[in-house]
Amino acid sequence: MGFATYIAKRLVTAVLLIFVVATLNFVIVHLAPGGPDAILLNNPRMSPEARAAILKSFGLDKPLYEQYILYVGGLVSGKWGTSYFYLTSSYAVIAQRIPATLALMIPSLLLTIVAGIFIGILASRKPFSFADKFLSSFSFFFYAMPAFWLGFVLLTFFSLFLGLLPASGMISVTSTRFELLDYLRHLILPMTTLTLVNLANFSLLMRSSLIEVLDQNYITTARGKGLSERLVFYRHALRNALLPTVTMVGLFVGFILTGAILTETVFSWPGLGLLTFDSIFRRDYPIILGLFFMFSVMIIFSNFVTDIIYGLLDPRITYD
Amino acid sequence: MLSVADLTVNFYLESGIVSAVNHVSFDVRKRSSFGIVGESGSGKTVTALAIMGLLPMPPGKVDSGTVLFKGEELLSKAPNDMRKIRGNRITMIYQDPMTSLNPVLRVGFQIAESLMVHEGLPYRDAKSKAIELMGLTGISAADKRAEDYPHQFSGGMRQRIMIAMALATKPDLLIADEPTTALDVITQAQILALLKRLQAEYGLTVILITHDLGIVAELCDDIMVMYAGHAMERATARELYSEPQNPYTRGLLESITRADKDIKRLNSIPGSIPDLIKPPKGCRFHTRCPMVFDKCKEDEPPDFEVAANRFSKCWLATAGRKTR
Amino acid sequence: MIERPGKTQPHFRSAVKFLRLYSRDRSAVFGLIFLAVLISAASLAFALFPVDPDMPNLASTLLPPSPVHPIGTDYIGRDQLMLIVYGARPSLIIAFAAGAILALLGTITGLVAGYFGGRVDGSIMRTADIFLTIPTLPLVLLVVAVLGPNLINVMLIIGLTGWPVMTRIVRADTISLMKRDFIEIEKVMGAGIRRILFGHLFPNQLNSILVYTSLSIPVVILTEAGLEFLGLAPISVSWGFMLNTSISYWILGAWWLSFFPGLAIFSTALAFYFVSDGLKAALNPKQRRRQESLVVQLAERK
Repeated sequence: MGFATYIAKRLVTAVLLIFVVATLNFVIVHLAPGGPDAILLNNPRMSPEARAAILKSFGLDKPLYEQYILYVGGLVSGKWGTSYFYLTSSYAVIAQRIPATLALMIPSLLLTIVAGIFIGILASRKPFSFADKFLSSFSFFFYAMPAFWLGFVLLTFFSLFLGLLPASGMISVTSTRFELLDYLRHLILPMTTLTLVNLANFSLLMRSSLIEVLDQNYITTARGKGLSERLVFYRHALRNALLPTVTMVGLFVGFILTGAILTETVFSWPGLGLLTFDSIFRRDYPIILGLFFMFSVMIIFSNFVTDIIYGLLDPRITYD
Repeated sequence: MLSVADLTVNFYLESGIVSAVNHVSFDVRKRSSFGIVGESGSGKTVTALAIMGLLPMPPGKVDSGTVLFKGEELLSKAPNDMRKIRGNRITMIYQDPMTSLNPVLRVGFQIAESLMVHEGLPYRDAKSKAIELMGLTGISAADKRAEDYPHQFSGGMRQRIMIAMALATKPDLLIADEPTTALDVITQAQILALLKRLQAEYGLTVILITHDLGIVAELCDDIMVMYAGHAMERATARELYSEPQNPYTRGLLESITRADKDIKRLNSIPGSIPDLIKPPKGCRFHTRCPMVFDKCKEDEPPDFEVAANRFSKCWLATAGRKTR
Repeated sequence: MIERPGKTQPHFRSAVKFLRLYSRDRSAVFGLIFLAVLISAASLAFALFPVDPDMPNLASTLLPPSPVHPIGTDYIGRDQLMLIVYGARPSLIIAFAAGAILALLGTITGLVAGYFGGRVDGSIMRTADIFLTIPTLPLVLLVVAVLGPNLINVMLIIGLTGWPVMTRIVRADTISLMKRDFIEIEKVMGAGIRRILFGHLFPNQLNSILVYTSLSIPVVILTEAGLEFLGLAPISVSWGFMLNTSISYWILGAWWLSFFPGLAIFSTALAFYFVSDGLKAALNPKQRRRQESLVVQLAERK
């Protein structure tokens, strides 16, 4: 197929998906009771001029298909309406919160991946051993665990009872600039919450991928060459087992993003998740719509990136 | 070169004990080619894996027997010592070339790996040897193709790569497990011709495992026929085809066409292979044997030596006397 | 060998076998008992706590756990134990309802996709893929926030977003069933779609449909709780919502406001998970043999 073709296909799919999401957005806005006026215009705090401006930019007085074009065009170019609460561009409000969410998501994602691979390897080296069974129990324990509850439990224990770690926010209220240590102290609990819930699942997937690979014929061939178990495992098995893992990472970005919404709320972490919570409370529809679009784009984008990485790693795609 | 005596391999599963190989003995002469023939499930591959030490040992277990390779006992060897022999003095090529090569490693590397591990060669030298080997096994433009991945080769080519891989360390013994089963007839002929040529060139001892009687007739000096884990008959190729001394062998031969005989009908052996968890009592073939009588159902026949170095596991055969 | 058509569901004698197989898994039994207790308590809520759950009792706000209030009181003085019991009702209702919607949608689309194949199959699976890519929680959030947070919406939307997984499974099973002899026979004999679909394809999959539905209920419970937690479902007494209101009071030290409702959510989800595991073991005993059957195949192939 060729690498270029592969990427092109994935790119087209990604773009199409973004359009689907935008359309979905549009459809929902129009399905709402009260119609798009209620969603986009109905803010008593808005000045008449602002209202007129919105009317114009979304073309709410124009026929449906024109509205659609205006809307989708607006989404793509960053015109996401005006926040009811903040009274400024929704896009600006949302964009400003992205770094904080990334500051939580990225460490959690990295930890999940690294620890997940490590645990998965351990479990597959000795299948059905005590450690392996422990992992299986560990994983369904966290399958049923609500992320927000775990956050509270950890908070209660470490912050309330032990007073060891800060209870909220990304940096201390009293500090005026960003300090690494302070950030890290604040990061521990939310990151642990977010990681734990996903770690078990990820390790389990890694483990089954490894076990499946170890069953393959080429592993017998490798052993038949007299290679040490270590070589067979790390050079032959692991390389192959990591491939589907890359795809899984894309999936987990979605999980971690969703988890971040809940976790940020519990810990008052000033990112997109907390914004979601607040905006729902305030019925700030433009922001809610913008957030949905933002989340979808982030996930579609991360899927695209993992697809590229996978394509780079799997010779069956890179070479013919 | 290789002496297997009284080999028994069982698999201990939750659903029962699978008796895969049962009291099998045979000798392979130096520089000869030895064929192991049988239907699927006869235990041929398990025997090969036992020799190589590749049996999955948690469920599998060698419950009896010795394997003498150039005077050394293999079954009781420590894993580290066995690893020095496996892939080095004894090598194996496998049944399905499509899945037997690692898809994410370059082909040249996979061949060179044996040399790097067993002879300590640095990658550069090992790789040029690998390219040489690829050329020897009939892959053109080997120096370029060594950088390719398995999926870029056809089935026949992949089998050639496996052969190159198996010959890298100039082994004493090569075990070929159904090397052509997954290939089309033309490629089959090519691969077999290649094996024959290489055997002569390298002075190899070869064990060829197959269910195809035609292949064995062409390539092998000595043959062992297996059925349901038993070694039914052992003879030279010529003896086996001209005067089979075992009803199972006879049944097999009657089910193929022969160029040297005028065959009007092909007879298949009725029935199917028995369940290896509950094998039939006595001779395992008795449920399908056209010449079965009472003793066959009760007692397992020993390996009768019907002539010099000819054995048949059948009550109709008796020591020193060839049957009809 | 010609296959006999017909259902492979458990009949009466197999019902006993089913119970025996199910009981082999201790946690599955615990899960079942837990759910039984929960459902009974929820149904008898009015009898157990003959008070209006919305009624505040401002004299006893924010009391920590004590013999009188075993798990404390909330910010308007209501006994938490009562709230937990009343809160079980929406959770259970939504769990079963959304689960049913999900199962229905997934089964129908899976059967259709598997039976007709071709373009129908392609378009169904593509739609499923789209739903799988779009993150569930944000989508649900969006819909419920904009279209109005009420019980029906929540049930519908959770069911509507969860179907792709079921579809995949049913479709795969349908396709493999379609290849079997008895379907060919039926087709040759002129059986209509309805007969094949409802007489053969569906009954043979009933077991796995049941198992996967029960497996997806924990996810439903968590999603629903997440929605309530974020304030999207105005069910005044629900576990998730209790967690929502607990946020502001946590700072004051009222840890029990968040701990117990969360524990309820967790235990219920876990119970459903255990039950689904038990169902899996009881309905598909062959699955356990997979590991060894591979080895047997290995031995027999050689």
